[in-house]
Amino acid sequence: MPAFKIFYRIGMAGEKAVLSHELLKDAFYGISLSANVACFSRTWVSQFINRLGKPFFIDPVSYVFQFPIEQISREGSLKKSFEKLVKIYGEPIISASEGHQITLSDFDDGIITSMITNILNFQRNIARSESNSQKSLFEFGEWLDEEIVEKEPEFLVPPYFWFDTPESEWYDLNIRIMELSKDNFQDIPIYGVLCTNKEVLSNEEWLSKILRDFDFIDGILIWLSDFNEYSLNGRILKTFINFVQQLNREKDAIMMYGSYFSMIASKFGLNGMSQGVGISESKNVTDQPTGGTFSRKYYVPQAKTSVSVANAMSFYAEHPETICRCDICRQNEIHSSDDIYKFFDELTPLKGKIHYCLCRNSELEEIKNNDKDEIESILSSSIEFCEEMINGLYDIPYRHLARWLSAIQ
Amino acid sequence: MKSEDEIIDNIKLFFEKKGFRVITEVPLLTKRIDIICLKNGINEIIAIEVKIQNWKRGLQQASVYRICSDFVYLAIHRDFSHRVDIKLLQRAGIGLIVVDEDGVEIIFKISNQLLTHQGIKNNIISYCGGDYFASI
Repeated sequence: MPAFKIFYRIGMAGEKAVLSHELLKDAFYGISLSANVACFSRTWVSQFINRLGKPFFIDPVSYVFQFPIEQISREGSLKKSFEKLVKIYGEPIISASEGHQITLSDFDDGIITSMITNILNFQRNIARSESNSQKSLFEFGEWLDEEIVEKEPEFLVPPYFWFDTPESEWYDLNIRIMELSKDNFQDIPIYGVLCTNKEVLSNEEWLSKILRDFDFIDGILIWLSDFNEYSLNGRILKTFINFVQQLNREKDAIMMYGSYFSMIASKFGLNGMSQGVGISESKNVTDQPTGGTFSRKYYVPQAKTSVSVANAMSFYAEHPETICRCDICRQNEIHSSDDIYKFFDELTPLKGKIHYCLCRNSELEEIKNNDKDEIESILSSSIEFCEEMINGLYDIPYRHLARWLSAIQ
Repeated sequence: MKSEDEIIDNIKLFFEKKGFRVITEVPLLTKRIDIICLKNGINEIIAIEVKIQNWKRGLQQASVYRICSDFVYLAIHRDFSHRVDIKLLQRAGIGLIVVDEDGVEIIFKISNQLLTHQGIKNNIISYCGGDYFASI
């Protein structure tokens, strides 16, 4: 089984300093970007991708044009990042952006092929900046006889639309888009997006259809709208595990938004996830796409969740000996509640995010190095710890741990 | 009286009569404390979390206020007060206030056992106009 891939989704420049930090050099696999972010900030995005040197992919976010345009508008006009994007995408996206509700009749093979060509070429060329400084860098490389490779995405993601059942025509359209993408872009892997509701996974017939229909594609990106690992009950989580177990093991299956539970699902066949740094661990298709906002939070490794700094402070002030020992947290000598207060006073958002990524990486290592039974005992120990130490105080949720455990048992 | 606002109003009146300055919705980093009470000349903060019936949720929130207060209370409607695990509150250093149409009753008071974060406490005092009290 290939290593589990964590792609951190980056918003409007906020995560640049985090993800290029020395401490995180080997702590994640790659990055992902929404096409509107990539398009709006193309210069820094291309420089960042090339400098980081890690795999990446672009989410075409085409589903947003299926919904009322107000979702991507501000004060009556299209947000700047989408305004730029629709010009690249062409029809029928341009019409959709002008208020025409996009319908299936807007698509025929000719329109689909031209939309695919625009969208996939945009993804493919995103790291080739048109800026002069970037061009000079490549010319300088040539002059030194050193090859500076402009990165291509690890895979291309064809435009996709949300569907409520695989019997819907939107589903058929998605499959057609993927087929034409495969035909037209044969020299680079194509990953299709399964963008639907979690309820779809409970229907065995639909599940079989999905598995059959997606089998020709090189990889699958799974986006179950509002699949919040922290709040879902064990039954739905179990259904998800059942789905993952049936996926073709020879192909990548990556959660578009995931968290710790998705990493556990690696034991059942999932081999990657995308998420924001401390945010975007789940998403509803009707949520407004934002550049990503980060409120000051601290990841509590024992509960495997992020909480507000005040909550974390109140817990660790009483239990200073249990503070995390990652490279960020162990920089401070911590023995008392005063040390904890000082630590949190000095915890900048940058440090908080690095701590988050370091925790994620060590959790991933732990999952990788243990079998399913051992992961069950890791979860059981976490539950015991939380019940003994948190026990209804500090406003730190931990009930999800028991639901995760029951889902994998 | 079954709304949180009514409970808050009653508590406000109760502590004001006792000479406290009472401020509602006081920021604590990214959170908000339902009620803060301050008394002139005494550098002490009372923080109160108000709930109608969900005492467990109230306890979770109130326990966080211990980082900035000398006394922390959970206030709850009398009709639901029998459900509260008093021992759990006492262990956490959180007092209990019971409120109904007839008034406010402090069931027990307990000193916060956790050391407070002096910087955050000072911010709250200053937000609540503590400087004004110190000067009169």
